[in-house]
Amino acid sequence: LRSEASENACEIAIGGLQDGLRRVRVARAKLTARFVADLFNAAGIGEWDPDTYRFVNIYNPDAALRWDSARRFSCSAERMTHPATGLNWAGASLAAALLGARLPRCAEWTLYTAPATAWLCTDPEGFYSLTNVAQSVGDTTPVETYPLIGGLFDPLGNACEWMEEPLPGPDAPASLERYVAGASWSTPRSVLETTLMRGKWGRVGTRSIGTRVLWDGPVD
Amino acid sequence: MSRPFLLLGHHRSGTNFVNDLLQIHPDCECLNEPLSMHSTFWMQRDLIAWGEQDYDPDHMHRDLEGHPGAATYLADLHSYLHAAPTGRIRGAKETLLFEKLGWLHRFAPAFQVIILVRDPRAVASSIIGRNMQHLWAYDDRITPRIARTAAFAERSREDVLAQVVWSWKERLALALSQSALFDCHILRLEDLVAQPRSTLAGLMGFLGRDVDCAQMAFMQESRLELGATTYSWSRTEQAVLDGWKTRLSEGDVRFIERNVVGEMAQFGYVPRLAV
Repeated sequence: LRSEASENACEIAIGGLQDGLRRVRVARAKLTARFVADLFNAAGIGEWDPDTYRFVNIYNPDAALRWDSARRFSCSAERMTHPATGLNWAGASLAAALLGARLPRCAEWTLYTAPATAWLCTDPEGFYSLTNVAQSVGDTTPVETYPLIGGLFDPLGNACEWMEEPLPGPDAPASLERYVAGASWSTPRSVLETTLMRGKWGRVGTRSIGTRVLWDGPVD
Repeated sequence: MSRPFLLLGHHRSGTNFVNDLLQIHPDCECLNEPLSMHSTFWMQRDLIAWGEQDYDPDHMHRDLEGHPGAATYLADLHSYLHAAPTGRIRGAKETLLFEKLGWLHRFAPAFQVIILVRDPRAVASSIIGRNMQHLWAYDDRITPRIARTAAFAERSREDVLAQVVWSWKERLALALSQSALFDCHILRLEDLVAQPRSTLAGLMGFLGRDVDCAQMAFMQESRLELGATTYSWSRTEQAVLDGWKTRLSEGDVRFIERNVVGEMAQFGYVPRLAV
């Protein structure tokens, strides 16, 4: 699973950051529901508390991932190649760590989605016609449905992405708010054109947030 | 520090739409059903009343004593909602808790409450049309309670319309009976759709904020016919206001009006003369 994820990454030079020019590899696509189910099952990760969840919201009836009667993660046949929505921040971080990767930082996200944001600014109708946002479909779609933009699938659509860093502030750990970047299948155009990054309580996994992982350093 | 808010509405009353509308404001964060869609604990206790006297300073509620996962989550949620950075406001939307507002007042007295109301004919039409009564286990939770309500005797207790009308009537009564404990704002979905500017200004004013231009842009966008699904924020004005008229039979409409005519008149869905 590690090599499958890593081989499907796009190498991008990240410049202009505090620590200067460096190279990272960004996953071409967000992690899919089937991939995360396989990953967590292989690692022995589970949702054992009968009342709530640690990593994956299994209580939303429309959840991409289920915790089934065999006490394993699974997903429906229709959702296998959709983004693994429903992971909270801890679940997203755990998936990244299991892959030897990490979640992107906001500055990195801004750089790797620059081709998409530029397209949105210059040709919004063209952009919308080839992106799953604003309920044009009404649900998530398989992660490779739309064409690559800047080497990535769904850089600005289908599902938002958890970022690594918390919002600055005096919050206690329990109330930690994490950055979520991008847009999902349900993000209205009126939001997409004004707000691409906002805070979200890291404890909740929702139907609109997925996970893209990133590796430091170039391809081996 | 900003006071958190609770947006409370019956199933299929436009709570997702209002949740998104609040969330779009740059100062607002509105969590979507952080209890009922993130745990089994609360769904299993739907319509089990918790009053002010049930608040337990040690365990929040005695029922939480044997559920450490649910208790920790609830404590974390409380911390999160009350720790908004300066200038921001946090809240949550729920379709449960109508019968727990007394307990909530002791647990989180700073809460401001928004009660979202929609015409029960539209609520019934939406639930029945999508067969959603199973999602909220109406057979298990509503049917046994209907048995104790003589007014519903003309329909079988398993009748979905009777379940929905009972649910709408009882949940609204439970919420209104406790609303004086809080700063409370009553919001009609129909007003928001038909007079968006003034109604939204009233809602945001209640939360101490001005309407943001992105919210008005979203109101416009929400009227377009997009790829609308069950939980979609996009509906035409006609679908929201009048869709039930073609989906409910005359007998269904008469049944609803007969059983909740007082409440409908209170919220302007039928003339007061009809009471």
